[in-house]
Amino acid sequence: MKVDVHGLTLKYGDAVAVSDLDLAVNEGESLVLLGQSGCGKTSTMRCIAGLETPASAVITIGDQTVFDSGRGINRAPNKRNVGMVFQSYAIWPHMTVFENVAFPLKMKGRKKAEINEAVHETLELVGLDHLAERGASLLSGGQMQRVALARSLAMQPSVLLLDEPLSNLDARLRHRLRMELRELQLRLKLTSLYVTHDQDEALALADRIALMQAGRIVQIGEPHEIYANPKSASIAEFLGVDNVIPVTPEDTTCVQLTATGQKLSVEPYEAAETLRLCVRAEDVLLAAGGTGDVNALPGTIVSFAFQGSTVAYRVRVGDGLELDAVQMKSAGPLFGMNDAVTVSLPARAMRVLPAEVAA
Amino acid sequence: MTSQTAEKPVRNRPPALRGRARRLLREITLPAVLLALLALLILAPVALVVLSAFASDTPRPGNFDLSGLTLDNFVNVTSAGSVKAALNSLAVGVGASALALLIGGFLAFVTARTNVYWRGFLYLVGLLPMLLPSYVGALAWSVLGSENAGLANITLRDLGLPGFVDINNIAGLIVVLALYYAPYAFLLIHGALSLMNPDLEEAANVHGAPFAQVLRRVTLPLVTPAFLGAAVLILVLTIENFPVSQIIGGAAGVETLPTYIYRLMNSTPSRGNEAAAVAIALVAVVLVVTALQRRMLARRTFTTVSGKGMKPRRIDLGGWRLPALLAGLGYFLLSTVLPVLSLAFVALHDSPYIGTVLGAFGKPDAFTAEAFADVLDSSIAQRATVNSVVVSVAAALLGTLLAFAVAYVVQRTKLPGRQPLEYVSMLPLAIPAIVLGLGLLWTWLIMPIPVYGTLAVMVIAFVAAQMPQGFRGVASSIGQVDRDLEDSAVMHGASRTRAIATITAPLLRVGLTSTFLLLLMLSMRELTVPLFLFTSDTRLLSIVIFDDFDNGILQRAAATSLLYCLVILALSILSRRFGASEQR
Repeated sequence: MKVDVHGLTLKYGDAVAVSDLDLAVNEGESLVLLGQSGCGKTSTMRCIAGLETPASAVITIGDQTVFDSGRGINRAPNKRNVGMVFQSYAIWPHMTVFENVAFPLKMKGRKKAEINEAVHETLELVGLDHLAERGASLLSGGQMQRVALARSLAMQPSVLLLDEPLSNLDARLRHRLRMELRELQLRLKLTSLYVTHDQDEALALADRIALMQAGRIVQIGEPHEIYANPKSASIAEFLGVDNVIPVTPEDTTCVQLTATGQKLSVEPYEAAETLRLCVRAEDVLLAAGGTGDVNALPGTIVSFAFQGSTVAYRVRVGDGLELDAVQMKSAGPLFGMNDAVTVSLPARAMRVLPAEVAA
Repeated sequence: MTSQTAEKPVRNRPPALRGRARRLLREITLPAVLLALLALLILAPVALVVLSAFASDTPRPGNFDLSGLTLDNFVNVTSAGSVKAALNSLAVGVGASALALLIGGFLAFVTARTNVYWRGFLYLVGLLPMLLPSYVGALAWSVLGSENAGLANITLRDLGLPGFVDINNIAGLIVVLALYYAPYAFLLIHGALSLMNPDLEEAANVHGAPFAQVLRRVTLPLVTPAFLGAAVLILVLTIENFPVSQIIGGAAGVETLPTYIYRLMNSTPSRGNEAAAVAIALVAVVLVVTALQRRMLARRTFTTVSGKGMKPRRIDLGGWRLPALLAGLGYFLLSTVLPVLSLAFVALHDSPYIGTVLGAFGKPDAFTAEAFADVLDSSIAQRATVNSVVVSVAAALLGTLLAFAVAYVVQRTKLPGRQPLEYVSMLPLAIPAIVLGLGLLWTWLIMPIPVYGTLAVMVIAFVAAQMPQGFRGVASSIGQVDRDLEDSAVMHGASRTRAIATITAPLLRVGLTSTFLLLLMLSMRELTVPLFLFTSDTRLLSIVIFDDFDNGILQRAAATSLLYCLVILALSILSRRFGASEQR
C-alpha cells in the first residue's frame, strides 16, 4: 500500500535526527533511502514502523493514518501491519525456523492449518522449506536473512521495511541475495522501503532512490537519473565521482581552479555560493605531449597502480592540486613516476555543481 | 519503547494537547511507580539515618518529630572512642585489603599465566573460601587461634611446643579478613589476566620487548583497572564488615566503626542518634574511597578484554613451580582446611572443654555427633532454617522481578526518570550493611503497615540491600539480548507486553535464573542487615549462629555453621551451573 510521510521531525534530546521530511512510497514501488551512516535514514524508517516517536509528523499507510502529532494519533507498531527485516535479522534463537515465520500469523489469530500452509509456502518462496524444523540459532547468516524475509512476507505487510539487510553478509552472498530480493520484489509487487549506505545496492534494488543527508532528503529520482545528474558535489562524491575540486566562477561557461588559478571552459552551470568541479577518473585523459585541447593542463605523475584492464594514476597539476585518472591499458603508453604528462578535461565530461544542496 | 499502545483519535476536543498530556501521563506512570518503590525501600532508610543523626530522638511508631534538630550527636563522633574506632577501621581496611590483594593477585597470576603444579586445583583454592561466610570463618578462627583456649595453641602444647598463635588483636583481625576477602581479588584479577587479548602481548613481543618487559610494560598495566577495582571493592567491604570485627575484634577489644555502631545501638538505653551520626561518618569514608577509585579510572580507558576464549601464553616458573604451589597450599590450609577441621572438632568433641587436641584421638568416646543431633532436633534451629529458606527464596524472587522491571526501563526505554532509577538501585553499594540495617529498622518501625517483627520485613530488607547485585545481574543479561529481537516481535504483530513475555523473558531465562540464585545465596549468607530487625520468632540461621557464639554455646554454633556451609555449597554449585557470578 501507499505510504505517505509528511513533515517528519525526530529529535533525540536536543539533537535533530530528521528534520521536516516529506516522503511518499507509491503502491508496489521499491524506494531506497540512501545515505551515509548517521544521516537519519534508519530513524526515518523506524518512525514509519512506530519504533520511534517523532516530535511531529503525519504518517499514513494506505488510507489509515498511523501517526499524527497534531491530532494525537500514534498507532502501536504491532497494529500497523508493517513488515520489517532488521539489520541484525533479529531471528529469535529460542524458536525453530517454522516458529519464527509462524509468529506474525499466530499474532493475527490465524487457524493452525492456515498457518501451516502459509509458513511452508513462504519458506518455499525463499528456498528454506527443508529447514523448517531447524533451531534458528543453527542457521548461517544468509539463511537467517532469508528467514527474516520470510517472517515479514508471511504477515502480508502493507509495506515491507528493510534496514540494511545485506550489510552483514560477505560480498558474494550479498550480490546473490540482492538479485533474489529484486526478483521477489518485482514478482510480488511489494511496496517496500529499503535503507542502505551502499550505492551499488541502491542502484540495483530501487525503482526510485531518495538520497538523504543530515536528516533531510536532498534528491529523489530514478537510479539512472541520480547517477547521471547528481544535484550537488557531495552527492556526486557519495556516488563515486573521484575528482571534486573547488572552483570559482569566471563567466557562464568558464571557471577558475581555486588552487592554481587555471581556467577551464565548461558547459553552462547554475550559480551558487560555493562551486565544485566534478569529474570521474575515467573521463580524465592523459597524453605524453601537447594535445592542443582547450582544457589542457601540464602535470606530473605522482603515483600509479596497475588494476588489470586499467591503470590508475594520480597526477599533480599544480600546487596543492592532484587529480585521479584511470586509463584503459590499450588507450596509450603507460606512464611512470615523475613523467610529465598533459591532462585533458573534456567539457562535456565535467559538471560544475554547488557543494551542497541548498536547505 | 516510547509509546506502544494505540491512541485513538479524540473528536471535538483540542486533540493535540490532550494527546500529549495523555502520552506524558502514560510515560511517567511506570517509572514513577518503580521510583516510589525504590525510594521506600532504599531512600527512606537512608533519609531516616541522616535525620536521626540530627535529631534528639530516634524514630518510633507514632513519634517521629523533627522539632529538636541538633548537632549534639556529632560531638560523640569526635570523641576519643569513635576517633579510635575510625582509625581502627581504616587500619584494618587498608591492612586487610593489601594482604588480600597480595594473596589473591598471587594466586590469580600463578593460575592464569604460569605452569605452576596443580594449576586447576589452585584455581579452586582461590575460590573456595567464598563458600565460607566471613563470620563462619571468623568463628572458626576464634576457636582456632585464641591465645589460651585456641586449638592451634593446644595442639602445639600437645607436641611440647610453646603456643604462639594469637588471633585476638588487630593483626589477627587483619589476617582473618584478608583470608576471606582474597577470593574477590583473585576472581577479578584472574578474569582480567585470562581474558586479555594475547595479540596485545604478542605485538609487544614482535616489536622487540623480551618476555619480562612485555609483562612489565603491557600485561601489568593492562591489569591495573582490575587490580584497582578489586582494591577498592575489598577496602569498602572490609571497612564496613561487621561480623568479623565483632567476633575477632570483640574479644581483643579492637573496636571498628561498625562494631561501635552496634554497641551504641545495644547499650541501655539505646543511643540510636549517636549511632546514626557515627553511621554517617562511616558512609563518608566509603564514599571517599569509591570517589577516589572513579578518579583513578576515569583518566584512562582500557578496552583490552575481548571476551573471546583465548589462550594467553604461560610463563615457565622453572625452579619456582614447587614453592609457588606450596604457597598456594598454605593459603588453602589457613583459609579453608584448618577452619573447617576446627569447627568439626569442636562440634564433634564430647565436651565443650578441650584440654588436648591430639589426645582426643586416643580416647575411645571423645567424639560424638550429639551437637549435630542437638541442632537438627532443636526447634530454634529448625525454625531458623525454615525462616532462612522462606525469606531468601521470597527475597530472591521479588528482588529479581523488581530488578527486571527497573533494568528494563533503564536499558530498553526512553522513559523519563531512568537515571534516578539506576542511581537509587546502585545506592546500597555505598551504604554499609550495618547502616542500611539501622535505617531499615527505623523505616519499618514508623511505617503504618504492620510488618515489623514479621518475616516480611526481612524480605523487604534483603530486597533493598541486594538491589545493586540484582540490577547489575539483570541489566547485563538484558544488554546481551539484542533489542531488535523484541522490536521485531512487535513489528510482527505482538503487543509490547506480549513481546516481552514470549521473546525477551524466555531469552533471558538463564540470566534471570542466575540472578535469582545469586540473590538467594547472598540472602542465605547475610547477617548484618537483619541484625537489628529480627525478633525471637523471625531468627535466621545466620543470626542463630551469631547468637550462639555470642552466648558461648560454641559446640552448637560450630555444628550449625558446618550444616549451613553445606547448604551454601549446594546452592553455589547450583548457581555455578547457571553461570552466576559471585562477585559482590
